[in-house]
Amino acid sequence: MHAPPPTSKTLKGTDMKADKSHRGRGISRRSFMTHTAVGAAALAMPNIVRAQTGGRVLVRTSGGSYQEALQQGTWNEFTKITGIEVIGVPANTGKLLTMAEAGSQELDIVEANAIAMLTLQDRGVLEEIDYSRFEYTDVNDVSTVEPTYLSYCAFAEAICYNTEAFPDGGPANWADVWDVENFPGRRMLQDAKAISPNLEFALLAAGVSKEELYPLDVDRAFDMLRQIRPHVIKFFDSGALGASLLAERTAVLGALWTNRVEALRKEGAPVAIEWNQAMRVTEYTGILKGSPNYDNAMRLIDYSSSPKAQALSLPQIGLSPENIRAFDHIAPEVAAILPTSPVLKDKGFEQSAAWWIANRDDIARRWEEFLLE
Amino acid sequence: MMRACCRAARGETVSAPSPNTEAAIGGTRRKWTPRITSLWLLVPALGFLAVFFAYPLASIVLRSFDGGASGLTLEHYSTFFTVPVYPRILWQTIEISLLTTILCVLVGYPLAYVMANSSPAVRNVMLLMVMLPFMTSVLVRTYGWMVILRPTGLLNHVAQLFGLPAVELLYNRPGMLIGLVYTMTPYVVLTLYSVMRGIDGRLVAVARSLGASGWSAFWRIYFPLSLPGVAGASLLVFILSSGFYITPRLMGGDRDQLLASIIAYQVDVLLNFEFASAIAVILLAITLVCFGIYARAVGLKQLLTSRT
Amino acid sequence: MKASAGNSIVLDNLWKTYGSFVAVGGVSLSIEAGKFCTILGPSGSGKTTVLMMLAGFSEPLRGNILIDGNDVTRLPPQKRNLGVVFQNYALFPHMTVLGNVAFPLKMRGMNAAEINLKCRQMLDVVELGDFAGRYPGELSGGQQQRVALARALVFEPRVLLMDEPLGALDKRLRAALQVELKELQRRMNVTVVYVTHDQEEALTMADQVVIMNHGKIEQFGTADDLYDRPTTEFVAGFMGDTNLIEGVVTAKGNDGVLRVEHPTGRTILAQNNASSVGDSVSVSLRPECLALEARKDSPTEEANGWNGRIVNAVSLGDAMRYTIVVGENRPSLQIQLQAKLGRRGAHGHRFYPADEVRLSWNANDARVLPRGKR
Repeated sequence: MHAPPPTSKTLKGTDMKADKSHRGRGISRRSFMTHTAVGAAALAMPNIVRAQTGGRVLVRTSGGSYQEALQQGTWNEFTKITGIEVIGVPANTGKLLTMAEAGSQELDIVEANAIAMLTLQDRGVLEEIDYSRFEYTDVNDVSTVEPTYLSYCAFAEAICYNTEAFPDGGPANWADVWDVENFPGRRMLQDAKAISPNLEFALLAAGVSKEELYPLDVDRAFDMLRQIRPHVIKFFDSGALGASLLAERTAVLGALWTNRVEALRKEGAPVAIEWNQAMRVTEYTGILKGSPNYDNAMRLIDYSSSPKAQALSLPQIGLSPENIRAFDHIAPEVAAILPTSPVLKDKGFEQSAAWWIANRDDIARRWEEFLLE
Repeated sequence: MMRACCRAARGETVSAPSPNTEAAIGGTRRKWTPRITSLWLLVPALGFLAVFFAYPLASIVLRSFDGGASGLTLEHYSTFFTVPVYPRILWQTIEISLLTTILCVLVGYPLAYVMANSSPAVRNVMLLMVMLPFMTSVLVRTYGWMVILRPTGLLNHVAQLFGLPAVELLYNRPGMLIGLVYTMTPYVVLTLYSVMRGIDGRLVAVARSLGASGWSAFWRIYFPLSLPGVAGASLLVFILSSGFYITPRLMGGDRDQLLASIIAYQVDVLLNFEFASAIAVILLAITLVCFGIYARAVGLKQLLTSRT
Repeated sequence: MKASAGNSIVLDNLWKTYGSFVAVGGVSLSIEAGKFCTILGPSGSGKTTVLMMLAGFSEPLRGNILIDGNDVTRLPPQKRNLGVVFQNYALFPHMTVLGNVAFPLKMRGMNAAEINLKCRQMLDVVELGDFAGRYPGELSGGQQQRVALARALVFEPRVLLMDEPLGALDKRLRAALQVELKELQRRMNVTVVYVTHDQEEALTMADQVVIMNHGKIEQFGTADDLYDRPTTEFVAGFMGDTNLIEGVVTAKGNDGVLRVEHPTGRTILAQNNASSVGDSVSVSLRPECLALEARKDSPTEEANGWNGRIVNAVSLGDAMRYTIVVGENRPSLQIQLQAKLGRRGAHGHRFYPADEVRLSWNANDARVLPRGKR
């Protein structure tokens, strides 16, 4: 470990604790963060460690609580060690792509889902990562490592249900979700507009095993969706909407991202996750070509992928580390809700980004047609 | 340009200048060149338009023809019109926008009428109430409606209290229309209000003194005079709702797909900017067509001046 | 007040208030059928409010309105069968001239052929036969006003109400239309109630004039009555120019002539109506009733015969207006008077500032009025 450079301002641990104990403050800051320009936020936030001497590095994130967790669990520590200031740039995937294509000098590291990452790769805007320079991370511990990107974290979409609606136990698999007689009630499934429609779950409900899902039998999947559709109040197209459907009991079972369900459960909502047949979606990280701070970016990618950095930041927001060693630093009860943890990994399966990239345009049209039926 | 516009509007009035004077005016205007320097005052505005309007628009149009390696292409447009689902969504967008427009005018007209024809105190209160929604974000207002309308929401709680059956007014077309009409009605009210304030109230009084009942005076005098406002408001609402995104997405049903949400889907998820651009250009074309129809039917002057 | 038989319009103790503001405070009035009655008053005097109540656009707080003997107080405007003409003409901009004129007939369910015939006739009367297809926006102000008139008369109402109908026209056009209007009224034998603030207009056309002030009727009578025999200072001042001279009644003669003493000791002989000895009064003396004579010395002043000096002379074209100061030695007790003399004829002599004059008047031309609040 490097000693902190003399000029960097360090954060006292007590501040962080105080912040966590005051939920209200945390929430208001979160909403504030999303509305504030990055630079201004960096100046105004008391819990951001700033340092000029080591230069800076700019990271695209999806913003909000996600960025806040990274700031507290990874970036502050990284700045302390290296003196490099980390600036989060909230941007959705579309904006990210535009920035990357325009050869923007305002971004070093991208962190995005597989589709976006592979699109960037196709367009040739990703820089090779020099893994030989890694000092914090053993790349063998990371589940996917490619020349220009590596897996960073994962989240999962799983069966969720309202425990009050099913006091005798909720659905155990997707076939149960499709079983409207034994599990009556309004359902929720995902719209294609939120990453992808639930074709995998439809096929699992039809009895296809999770090992034999890909290539997806699209016709059969849509038939299954057609079957359940009268019981689906809404195909949600954003995690926020999905969460509100479940929280307000507009729907009592269906699919939702597990970190969303966990957040609701922590707030006291009577909701639960069935991890069986959960689908993992992986997020990747890489460096843009022409990165203005390549060396700093290399160091941050290395540091962020390390077990400790991942353990300290990702579980806070229900995301699962891709570095398997991170679980050495995570309490068992926390690991129990992380989809890549040794206890849960085998219950679920990983979504095939390659299949979706190859088929997404066709599926998009079929999905629109399906919706209009 | 203003002068030419006024002259055209006057048409064949008794005071219209003869062709000779016309020519004379034209002659003097040609010698007007020294004042060209005053055009420099327009530069900041034009620059702003160029940077924030013309450039993005041009790049979207260009992008919609971008075929990557194969150069310019009409492929994205042909995809749009040959894959049956997209023309259907286009038609659905027009249909829903029209429906929203009609409902907004039906709701907004009486409101604007009462506002334009009541005492200043009542008018100010109403104006405030109409303006108030503009002060919160569309998102917040939409969520407000969702809290009221959702199956487990306020409306159904109240209905339950009175022993009434539950109503499904969220995640379906009626729900989306409630949201759209609520969001768009203030535009109708404000547009109509400004036109109605310009209608001479004595015309209705005179009509009544001439033997017209209140109803007949309204239909024969007031309503025809307010029509330019109705047309302007309708145009505004139609254009706004044809591109509206948040409310249909949050309150609409799965079948209520609109072009704007398809554009967002193509950009955010499928990262197909070219196709998204083509859809955006088609949406723009619809808007321009509406504008053209309006200009022919009512005249653009009516959009800028609300006097009757 | 006469019985309603000969009266077209009877207003009986009409009140109208807006909040605490009394717009009309107890107006009673009878207008004979076929007469041209002008309601004259400054703005805010309540004259338009009276007209609006007559038309049915505004409901009185109290009181009744009778038209041809029928109580119409609570009747909606369309049932009163009145023609109304406004200052801005209030033509329907989206209808042609013909459409405007046909409107009241359509509202009465008349058949198309009859409507067309009547409208053509009416447009000929107002000399706009060739303009039937034009829109109001294509007409001059005078033409628009004639359309408004045609529209208000085409259904042959018994009563025509006009609210400053000529106010927006220039002076010459106004004068021409005044004559036309009067002629039309006589020909169609319609009762006209005409609201204006222009006293000259009232004098030109009216058979009966009502002067209103502060929501009340000040005086009602013929134009001559009001001009020659005003009963209040307001009427005297509103109907043309006048000199108001303050004084106290000191004696009353059998012939109705009063002796009024001005604070300077000068005396005025003037006609009385109801004042008695000891009253503080104003004497109204029209400028054109003063006679001026040049003087060299200072003859003794007497009743209706004072010494003065010209301080200002203004030509009015056909006449001269002089400002004369009487008793100039003591400014606090000066009397300033206006005199108006024709430039030709018996008194054709022209005076100039600083001329010494003797001024005099006939006791019958001077009116004693109760002193108003100043």
